[in-house]
Amino acid sequence: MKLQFMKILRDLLSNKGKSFLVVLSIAVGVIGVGVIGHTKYTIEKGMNDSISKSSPPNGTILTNGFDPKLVDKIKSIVGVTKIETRGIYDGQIKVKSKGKDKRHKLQLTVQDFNQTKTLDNITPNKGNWPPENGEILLERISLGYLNIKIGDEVWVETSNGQVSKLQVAGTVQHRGKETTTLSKTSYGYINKETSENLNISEYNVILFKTKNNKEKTVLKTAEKIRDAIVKNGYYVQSTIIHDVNKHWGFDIVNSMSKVLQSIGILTLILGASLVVNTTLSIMRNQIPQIGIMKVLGASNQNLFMIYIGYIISYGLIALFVGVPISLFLAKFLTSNSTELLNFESIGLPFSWKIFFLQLIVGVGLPVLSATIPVLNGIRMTVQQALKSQDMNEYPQNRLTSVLLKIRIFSIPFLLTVRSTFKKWFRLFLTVLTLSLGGAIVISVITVYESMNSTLEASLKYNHYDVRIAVSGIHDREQTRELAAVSGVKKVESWQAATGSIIRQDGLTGTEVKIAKPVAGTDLMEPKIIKGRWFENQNKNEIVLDSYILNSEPHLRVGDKMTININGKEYDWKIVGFVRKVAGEVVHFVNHAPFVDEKIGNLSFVHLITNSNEKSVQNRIAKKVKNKFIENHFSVHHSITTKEIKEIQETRANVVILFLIFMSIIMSVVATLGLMGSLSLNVMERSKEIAIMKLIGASDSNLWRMMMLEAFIIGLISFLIGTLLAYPISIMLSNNVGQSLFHANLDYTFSSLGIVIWFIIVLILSLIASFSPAYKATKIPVNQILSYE
Amino acid sequence: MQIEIKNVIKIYQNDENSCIALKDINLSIKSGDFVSIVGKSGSGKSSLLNIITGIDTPTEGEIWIGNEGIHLMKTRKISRWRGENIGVVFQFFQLLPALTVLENIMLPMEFCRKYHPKERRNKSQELLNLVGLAGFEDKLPNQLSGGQQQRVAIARALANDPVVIVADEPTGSLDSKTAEVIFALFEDLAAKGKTVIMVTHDEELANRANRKITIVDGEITQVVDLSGGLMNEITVYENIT
Repeated sequence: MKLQFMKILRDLLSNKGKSFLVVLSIAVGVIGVGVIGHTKYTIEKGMNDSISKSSPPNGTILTNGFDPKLVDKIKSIVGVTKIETRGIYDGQIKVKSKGKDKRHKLQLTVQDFNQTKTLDNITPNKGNWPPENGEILLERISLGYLNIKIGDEVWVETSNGQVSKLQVAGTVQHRGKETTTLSKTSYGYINKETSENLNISEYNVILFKTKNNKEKTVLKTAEKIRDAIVKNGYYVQSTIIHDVNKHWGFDIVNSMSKVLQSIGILTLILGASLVVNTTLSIMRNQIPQIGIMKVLGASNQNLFMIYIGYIISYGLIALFVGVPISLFLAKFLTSNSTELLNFESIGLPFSWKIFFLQLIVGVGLPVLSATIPVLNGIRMTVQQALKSQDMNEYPQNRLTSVLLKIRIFSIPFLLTVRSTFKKWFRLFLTVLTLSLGGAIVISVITVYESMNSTLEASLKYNHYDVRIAVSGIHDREQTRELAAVSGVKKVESWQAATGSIIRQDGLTGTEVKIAKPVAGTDLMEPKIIKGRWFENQNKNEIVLDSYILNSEPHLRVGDKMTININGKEYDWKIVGFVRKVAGEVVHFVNHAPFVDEKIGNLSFVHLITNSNEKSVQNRIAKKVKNKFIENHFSVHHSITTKEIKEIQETRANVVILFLIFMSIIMSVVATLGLMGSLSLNVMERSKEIAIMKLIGASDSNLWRMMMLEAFIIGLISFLIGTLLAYPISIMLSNNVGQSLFHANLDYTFSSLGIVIWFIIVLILSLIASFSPAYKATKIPVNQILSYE
Repeated sequence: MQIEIKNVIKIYQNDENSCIALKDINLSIKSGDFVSIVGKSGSGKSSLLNIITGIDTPTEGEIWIGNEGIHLMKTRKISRWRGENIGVVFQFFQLLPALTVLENIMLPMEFCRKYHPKERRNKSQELLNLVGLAGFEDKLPNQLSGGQQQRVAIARALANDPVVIVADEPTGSLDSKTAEVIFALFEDLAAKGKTVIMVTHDEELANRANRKITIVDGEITQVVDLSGGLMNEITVYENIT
């Protein structure tokens, strides 16, 4: 081995403490970037795999039960390349859990298991396939959610009141459905024979695929299919146009991705500052050796190669350590995705692109940051290089001059303060690291609080306990009479309708639900984010739920909006946007001509009950629904406000848990940064410390000084971190809000976050100072001073 | 305060080799003595000083300073004890660059909590006057010449009014004129009753002490009593007990 490389190797091994610190600092950057990058990559890959395996249709049309001949007619429509049918019905599933009966929401799919389904397909997971008569297959996540096992018996009740006992024959994976974990709805699959016993044997859903995925083609084809359905004497209940490239969990994942991207950039800065900090320190200590080697005849090229090789070696060791740790953490972080997003077992979350980025952070960045000090060192004269370690230098600048004038404190305190500010660039990088860590922690807590207050504000929309969507009922008095069962305190019915937006180019766009709240209702508190709420004198105004911007991003306040309701077009003027983060997407109108014309036949019946208990409210809702069914009205769905809250909290918690994990990583990185910086200071000031020990400094003096230094850095970082947290938290909170709800969150800058971070900083400073202080007390005075 | 060194052996050991730095050293230094230690580079002079000051521990043997057994003292206690009882002066001054001259002198007082906080500044000022550097209080060490820095180092060594002053080549990096001024300061301290132990290469200066000890290869080969400024006795010690 060449002597130059022997030197590199021995330098690495001779000072294990410093080598460890340098490797740790670089590895922290490598880990930070790796965890975020590999996690993001894995989740995105999981979504893409899900999409390609589930083969989503371009559109789904929900209609009433139809004859199989209708399918043949639709197949012949130009532009339709594939068509499949199913029966999809809402119901409830009753399971025995810990000896008690528990009811859960159920969506039951009826399909012919002998025919190969290629659209929105389900794949066998465990147990029997296909299910026999009297058997039900459950989505694999639903089985866990219901806390039952294959072979158990369950009671299934459809919305028409039919009840049947079925045996769970096995599980399937339905990648195209929002998981039960998030939707709180279980998914069951039965064959035709079983469905006949439940009186839901008719197919009511048409899935179609078009010749291409262009929105215009899909919308045009959907329109033709709808026309065909209506022409053949059926009615269209709703049309859902799918973006086939978009996973159902895209909004949640996208919000996390945006958070990851923001934090990723900050981590990169953080990691980079750690790397630059340590690299500069190494080079500073090596400069006298450069002088010696120059005396011995080393050329500039020799020296450059040695020191760049030195830095590369550190980087490679850091990569060797950091990459596996980042993969392990990314695996941990994505492990819940099988449960939350219905991914396959994700294996090792690894992306070459991210590895390349880690390579840049681990090797490229240290080399880059070392280049200038290496070149500076090489350019120094021998004399300058040999003298560079002289301790008798205190930098003279404005800051140090001010510090020299401060006299009111004790000398050890002054010495600590002046030493802290002596290496201002290191201090800057350390403060930057810790401040960013702090800013992220405060921001995460701020996002958490903002999310909570947004959810709370959103739930104020619903001052009712239950909403039941009923069709065919127009008489408000009759509605009130039917809904007034025992336990109901108040009933309020809003006229509603389902229609489709007619775009300016004449194409039928997104399907929308509109409702006309009773004038002066106290059941809702709209949160206007753009424009205004209704002014009663103006007719035909519409206030849209901001979520519509997801599918119709061109809509603006002041635009005219045409909605086709059962074949008739109505115009409204958009006067505002409201943000509602929980429950179904409903837009509000102040005038409902479709009601007068008996075109819209939907009503939202709102109940306020005497009970605050979810189970009691569900029982009351069931009674009311039965009353409607008994009177031959069709109940579409019902939901309690508590259920909406649960669903939203689950969705929000996914993001929040993720943010908390990220902030923990950031805090660890920041602490390591502080610890590293303090340790470097101790190493570089070992002579100073030895002298202090020599003139009487006890271990407790040194401990106090190190802790004080950590606290000073912590305090500065706390102040800067708090300031930085403001813009960062606004950015994060807006990102999360826009991704999840297409509206900003109700931003609340968290004072609790500031207090929490202050406490964390104090504790972290204490922890970070521990190792350097211990090292300081163990500095061997005789060895440090003997070479003099 | 009497210094007693009994049967001290110091062996430096690493994985492969061992090196005997001090071989069975026995020495007694009376309170108020001015002792110079001479010897070639690597003879063991600094090892002996390190052991006297508690910077290093003997492999074998005992060191008593007054009633304190330095060899028995716990590591965490020794710094404070040294700060209070021994003033150390180095060849390269070892002042803290971030502190002004006056602050450098005050630092040992603060570490050892000597004097009332309000008194410390005045005491330090007195010491600075003593070494002839009045007016340099607010200077930083790097703004002073080598001789001036060494005078500050001596003032710092006297900060806690220690009974023993140990100096390792205090004039080694100074020109002869400045060295003379510094040495005069040590003579003055000895005259005032401090025990001064000084390692030096300079035979001429060494001969101005009360006693001169020569070390060769870790052994004391000569102790010369120079009391009264005359070489009135030369003794080769094999073993002093």
